[in-house]
Amino acid sequence: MATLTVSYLAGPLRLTLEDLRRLLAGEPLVRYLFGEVGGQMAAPWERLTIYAATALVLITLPFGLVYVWRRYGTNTLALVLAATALAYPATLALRLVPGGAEASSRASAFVFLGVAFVLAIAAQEAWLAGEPGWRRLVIFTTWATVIFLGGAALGTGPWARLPGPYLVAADTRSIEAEGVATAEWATAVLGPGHRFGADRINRLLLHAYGEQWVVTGLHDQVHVSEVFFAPAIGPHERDVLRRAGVRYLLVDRRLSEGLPVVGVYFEQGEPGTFRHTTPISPAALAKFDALPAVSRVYDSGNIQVYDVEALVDER
Amino acid sequence: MSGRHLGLALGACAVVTGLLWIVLGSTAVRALLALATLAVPGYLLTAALFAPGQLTGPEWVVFSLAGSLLVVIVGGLVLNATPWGLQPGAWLVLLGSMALVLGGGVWRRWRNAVPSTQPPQVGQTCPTLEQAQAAMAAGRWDLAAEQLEHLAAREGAPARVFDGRQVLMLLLAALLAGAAVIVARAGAIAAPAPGFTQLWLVPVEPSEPTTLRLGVRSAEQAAMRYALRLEQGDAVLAEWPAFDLAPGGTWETAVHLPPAIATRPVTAVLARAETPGVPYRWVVWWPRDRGE
Repeated sequence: MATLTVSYLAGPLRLTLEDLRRLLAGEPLVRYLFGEVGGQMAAPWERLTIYAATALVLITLPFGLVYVWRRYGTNTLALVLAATALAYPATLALRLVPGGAEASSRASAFVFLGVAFVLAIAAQEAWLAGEPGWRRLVIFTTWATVIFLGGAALGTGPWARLPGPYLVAADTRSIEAEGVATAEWATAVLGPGHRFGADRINRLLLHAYGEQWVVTGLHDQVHVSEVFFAPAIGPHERDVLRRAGVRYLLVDRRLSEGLPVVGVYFEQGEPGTFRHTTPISPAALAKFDALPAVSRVYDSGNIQVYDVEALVDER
Repeated sequence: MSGRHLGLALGACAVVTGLLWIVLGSTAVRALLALATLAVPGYLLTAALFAPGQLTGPEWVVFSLAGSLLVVIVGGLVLNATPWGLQPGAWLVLLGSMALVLGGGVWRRWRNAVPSTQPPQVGQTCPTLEQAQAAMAAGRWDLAAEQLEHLAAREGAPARVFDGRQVLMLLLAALLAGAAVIVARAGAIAAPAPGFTQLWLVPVEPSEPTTLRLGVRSAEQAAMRYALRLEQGDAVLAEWPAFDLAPGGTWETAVHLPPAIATRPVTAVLARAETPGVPYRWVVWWPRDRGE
């Protein structure tokens, strides 16, 4: 479990460092803030709020740190939280490279423990410690509201919000009835515990609703995604399936309709991770239909399930 | 129940809970008991680390929850390194043992403390500040805290409870959290849900590949009439020219293939009744022993 956790957290960080190295080497590797994702962009007022919230946090942090040092300079817990808050500007810098947004988002959950503490101390000392009055109250309320709204808008982009139509590999926007029904069918008809290869979203559903054993590169040390991307099934793909011990493959044809919003169709380590420029080929997803010995056991329109046991067992 | 008994009682509860966890098979009961089993070590850890009276009510809650998280995270890392791994039985042994050890620690700590947090009654000796300081100097932090608590009570110090403004803020925070859940739920419910139909063809049993399970389930927006055909090459093995399914309805049958034809792939083609020639869904079953 510890190894998995380290791999899970280290992946985006490794990618970020690689991007930073390439950026420093002069490669044109700039990520544009608030770019279009899944055909959606943040509204102008949202962008303004995000910028304002970031600016308010950056302006308030130094004052809060001074107050923390003066009042809680001997309190270990306070100093640890203050030190955590210092990482905030660095997490903002990560957002400037393509692979850094993921690392920055994951770091925010921890960094904001410290940031919230330091900001609260600053607010207490600067506005709330004196005589109560409407002016102070209005300033504090506005300040807190902008930071809250900006944080929410930054953390949950327009593409992640519900309701909205299906988007490719977009977490919340990719969880829908057909995927859930397929997972429930798997446990009801096939029975639980089969080894499945599937994309990122259907993997979650197969595990949560379908009680299936989904193969991942992180846990099983083999990337079944190679089989999905390959234009045809050759000896290498058969070897991947054999090493993964996969019995069923789930193919979601909608993957070929767009780029993955979160950067990967399957998982980190797949060809083109975080740098896909064209959607996965529809022909690559359709290749299983023409394979002798591979049974297409399920079809719900967008999703098909293939029994590839024969490929795995072939010698 | 007095504080000195609470630790042991909770420790015993944890063990009993764990045993019930094993005995009772119901998922809901197991989930409930698992939550209790996870919460108890955090509470006991807090009770063992802090002297009586050192924490207020909300601090107890926060430290107990944080302690439980700590126990689960560190416990998970430890168990993962053992040959038993992250199994329910291993968790039970770990959490049960921790509950017992911590419960013993709490009992020892609270046994030496002043039994009641109430101010001494008339005729009883009230601790003095000097006594509390002496207790601190002797390293008896639990006793010192208890004595200071008595002194505070005697001096009429205000009880450490929420005032009206804090209660209002807590209520507003709860309201905000509740509203967030409602908004999130409403968004998920309002998400577009286009209709679809599921078709499947699998062996009834892996050991009996000549009997196939053919099924259709409708998740369309309205009732629909289907036509289904089972083929092998150009031959039609079976046909169901029209059957209706309401949204949520399922149609299923078992198809027995004679051994003579059970060696070649079988295809099931589903069409909508209004367009019988246009495949709407299709599946194919390849016998395992004649794959290539």
